Amino acid sequence: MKKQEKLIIAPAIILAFSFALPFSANAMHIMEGFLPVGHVIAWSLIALPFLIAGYMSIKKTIAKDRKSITLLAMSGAFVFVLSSLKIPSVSGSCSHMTGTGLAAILFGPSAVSILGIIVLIFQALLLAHGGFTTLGANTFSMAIAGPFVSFIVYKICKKSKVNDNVSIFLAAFLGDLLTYVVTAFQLAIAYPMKEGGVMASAGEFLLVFAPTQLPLAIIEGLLTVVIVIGLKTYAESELKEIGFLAGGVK
Amino acid sequence: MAHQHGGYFSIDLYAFNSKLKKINPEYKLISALITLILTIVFNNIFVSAYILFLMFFITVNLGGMDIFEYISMLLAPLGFIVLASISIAFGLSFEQAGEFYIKIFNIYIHTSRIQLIEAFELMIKVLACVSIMQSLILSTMPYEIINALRSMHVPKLIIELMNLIYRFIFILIESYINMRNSAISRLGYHNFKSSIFTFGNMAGNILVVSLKKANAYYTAMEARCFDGDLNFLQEEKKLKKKNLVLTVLNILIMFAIWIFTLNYGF
Repeated sequence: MKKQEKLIIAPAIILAFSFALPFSANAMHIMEGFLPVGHVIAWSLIALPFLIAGYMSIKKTIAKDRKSITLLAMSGAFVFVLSSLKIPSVSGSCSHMTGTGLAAILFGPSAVSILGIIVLIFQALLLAHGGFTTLGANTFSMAIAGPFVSFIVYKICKKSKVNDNVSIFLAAFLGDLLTYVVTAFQLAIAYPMKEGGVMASAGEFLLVFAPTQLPLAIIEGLLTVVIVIGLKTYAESELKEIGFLAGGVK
Repeated sequence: MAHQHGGYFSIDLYAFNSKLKKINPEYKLISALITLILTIVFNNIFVSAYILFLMFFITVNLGGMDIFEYISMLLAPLGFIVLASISIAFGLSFEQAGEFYIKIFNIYIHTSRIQLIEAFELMIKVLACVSIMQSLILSTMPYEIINALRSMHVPKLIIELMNLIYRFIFILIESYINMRNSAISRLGYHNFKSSIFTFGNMAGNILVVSLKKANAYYTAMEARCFDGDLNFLQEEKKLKKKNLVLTVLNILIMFAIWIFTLNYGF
């Protein structure tokens, strides 16, 4: 093969790969049984303090206003439904949003950690995404790290007076991206390469999952913007109720 | 359930039709968790293969599930398994490395026998673990699992939220399906750009619907004397001695396979 031919064929293969994935490109739920026991325990312990904080915050919200229990439950159901819907995708493969970026912007990151773990349990039970043993790791990447970054990015953008739509896009996009990076590192720590160790392995996981995850993050950002525009147009009073227009729940 | 009309939750239906649904749900949850943990602890390909066959037997032969449906269900997470295995089986480097390699430009994609075996063993283990989960899900209704979690001392607030979320999911899915059907009939998905807008508006709309329904629900609950405690009634299913014996037997078999195959390997 001539060098020129290679130059044409290599991108074509990558393109074909990303366009013809026969399976669904979900947010990267680590599958049941993928992590060794030590990692299962470690990630659960890491997720625990965040979950306790989230639990306390939810408990306080409900103690203050009993009515918020149905509101919280509906928000959880909303995140689940959002993450189970097939979204429009360029490649024709079937992909899903995580929905956690939007939830973090709307409900605040501490509530999302608890709603997130419940949603992850239901995803494991109803859709076979993720699993019980990897619940800790998945909770950390999807319900803690991603939403926290989304929330912080959104706050910073708002403080520095960036255009609202841009800041929502950035928040959702970066939150999704971080979930993907964290998951890649979680996998890499569990399965380091013989030569190069964790970093080499992480690079490889990032590379292999990039064709499905990068477009997904962009689409997630776009969709989140459209959703929030729609909400602002039609549901201002409801948004005030959950505290979004007042600047997010606590 | 026709797929295009939102066959997302047919998994619920399988559990309802399973012949194993009469078995005590706490028992099913705990024995599934024990089996799951042991499979991961042993990390042995023979144990994994045994579990894979056992779970196939339990779900298809004892549970009475269609074999093709079971296999397609088991392979649902295939995308993740394949991609992750690729990254474990193959390495990238600028220098020549590994037993086998392909050179593309200046980058070597390399692998070795050990790496390939490791990836294969991992694939079998993950499939085995997924099949354990499936055997639980395909024979137990989610609300039973939630109740089983309550007996494992998960905080009451979480259980309440889970129960409510589980019920709300179906309400939201129903309104989503209606919206989607009406959007499709108005060409809401005819190209990528309009798909994005349709989807975004629909998702926003679902949130609005859900917030309205949340209010209605609270009113309904209050009208029925809701004072901060949600109680859900559930059919009582007695734990049978035979089941316990089988679980213990299964654990012993797993240990036996593990001990006998300690010295084997590729």
